[in-house]
Amino acid sequence: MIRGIWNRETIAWMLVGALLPVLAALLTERGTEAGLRVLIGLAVIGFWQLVFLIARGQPPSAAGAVTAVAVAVLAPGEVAVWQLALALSFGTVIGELVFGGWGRNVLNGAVVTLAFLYFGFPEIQHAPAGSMIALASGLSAILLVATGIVSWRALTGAVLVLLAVAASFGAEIAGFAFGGSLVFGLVFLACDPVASAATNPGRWVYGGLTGGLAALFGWAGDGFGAPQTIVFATLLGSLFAPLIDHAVIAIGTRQRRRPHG
Amino acid sequence: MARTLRHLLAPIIDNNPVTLQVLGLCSALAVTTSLLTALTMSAALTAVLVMSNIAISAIRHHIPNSIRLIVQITIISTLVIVIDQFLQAFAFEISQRLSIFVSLIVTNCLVMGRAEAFAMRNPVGPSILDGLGNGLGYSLILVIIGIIRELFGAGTLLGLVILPAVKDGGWYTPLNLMLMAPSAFFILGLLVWAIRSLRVEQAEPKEFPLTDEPERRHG
Repeated sequence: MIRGIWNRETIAWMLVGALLPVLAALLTERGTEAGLRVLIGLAVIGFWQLVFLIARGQPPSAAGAVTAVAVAVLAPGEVAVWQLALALSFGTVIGELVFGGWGRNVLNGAVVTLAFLYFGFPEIQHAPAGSMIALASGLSAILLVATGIVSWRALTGAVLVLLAVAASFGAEIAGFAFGGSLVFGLVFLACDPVASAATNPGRWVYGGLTGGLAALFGWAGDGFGAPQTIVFATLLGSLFAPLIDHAVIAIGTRQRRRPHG
Repeated sequence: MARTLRHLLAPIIDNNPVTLQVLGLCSALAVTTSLLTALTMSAALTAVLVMSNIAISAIRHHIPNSIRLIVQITIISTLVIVIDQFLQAFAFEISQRLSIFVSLIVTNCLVMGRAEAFAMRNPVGPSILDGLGNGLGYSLILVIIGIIRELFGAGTLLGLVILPAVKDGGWYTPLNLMLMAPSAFFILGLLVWAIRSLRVEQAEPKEFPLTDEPERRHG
C-alpha cells in the first residue's frame, strides 16, 4: 500500500527508528561484542540485497537492519562468525529475497535466520535477553502501535492469550514483563507488519495463535524467557497468517452476498 | 534415431521427473541422508521403472481400459516385492536403512505416471528408453542431493572420510541440519531454482509481477 509519504521504505525506517532504544539497551547489556554482531549482520544482509538489486532489480530495504539487530538480540550464544554469516545468508535469501524482497515475504527474515541457527547448531546455548531490552522494546512498542505499524489487535491478542495460557499452566506470569527475549520477540517478530495477518479479525486470531503457541512452547520446552520459544511460535504463527486472512475474507464475502431481509 | 534417443535423454534435465514434473519427492527427501542409500534407491527405482514399462507396454492392447490402473498397480507391486526381497537377500544392511521406502516405490507417482502416460501408448522399445531416461533423471537428482547432504552433514562420501570431523580429531564441524528432512527441501528448491535460471523455458510465468507504476494499483 502506498499512500502519501507512506510507502514501504517509510515503514522500514520507522521500524529502524523504533529499534534505536533496543540497540542502545543491547550495547549497554552486552557491550561491543553485540555491536560487532549487528555490523556483521548488516554487512551480510547488505551484500545479498546488492546481489538481488543487480541480478533482479529488487530495491534494497532498510528493514535488513531490523533483521541484523533481532539476530544479535536473540542469538547471543557462542556463535562463530561463519555460522552467523551462513544463517543470515539463508534467512535473508530464502526467507525474504527470493519472494521479491521485504514486503512480499511470508516469514520474517530474522525468524528464518534464528530457526536455522537453533536447528542447525543445537549445541550452542542462548541466554535470554535482560530486563533493559524488555523495557526498551516496550518503549518501541508504544511508538509502533501509535503510528499504526504494529497492529494493537495482534499485540493485545498475543499478550492476552500468552498470559492466560501460561497462567493456566501455573507459570509465574508477573516476571514475563522483564524477559527481554519474550517482549522483544513479541513486538518485533510476532507483530512484524509483513509476516503477520492483514485483516482486523485475522489479527486477533493470529495474535492469539502466536501467543498461545509461545505459552505452550515455553511451558513444555525451553522456558518462557528463552529466545527459542518466541521464535518458533512466530515461525508457526506466520505460516498460518495467510490462511487466517483467507478465511476472514471468505467469511466476509459470504456475509455480504447473503440476501438481506 | 535422434527421435528415439530423445525418449532417453529428454527426462534427464529438460523434462526431469523430480525438478520439472515434481514427482517422487517423498522418497527423494527420505533416502538422501547418505549417498549409499540414495544410489541403492535410484537403482531400485530405475529397475522397477524399466521393467514395469516393458511389461505394461507389451500387454497394453490386452488391458481393458476400465481396470487399467488395477492391472498397472499389480504389475508394479509385483516388481517392487521382487526388488525388495532381492535387497533383503543380498544387501540386508542397506535394505534395513532404506526401511519402508523400497516398498513405497509402489506408490511412487513417477512409476505410475510413466506407465499411464507412456507405456500404455507406445511400443516396447521406446518404453524401455523412456523408463531408463526417467529413472536416470530421478537418480541424478537423488545423487546430487545425497552427495551434498552426506558431505556437509557427516563429512563423508560413501562412508569414506572427506572432511575429517572435529570429534575424530579433524577440523570440520558437521552440519546436523543437513541430516534433517528440511535440508532436502532446501537443496531441492535451490536445485530447481538453478536449473530454471539456466533453462528459462522451464520457469513458470510470474503470478504477481513487480511494478512501481502507480496506475497499475487498485484503489
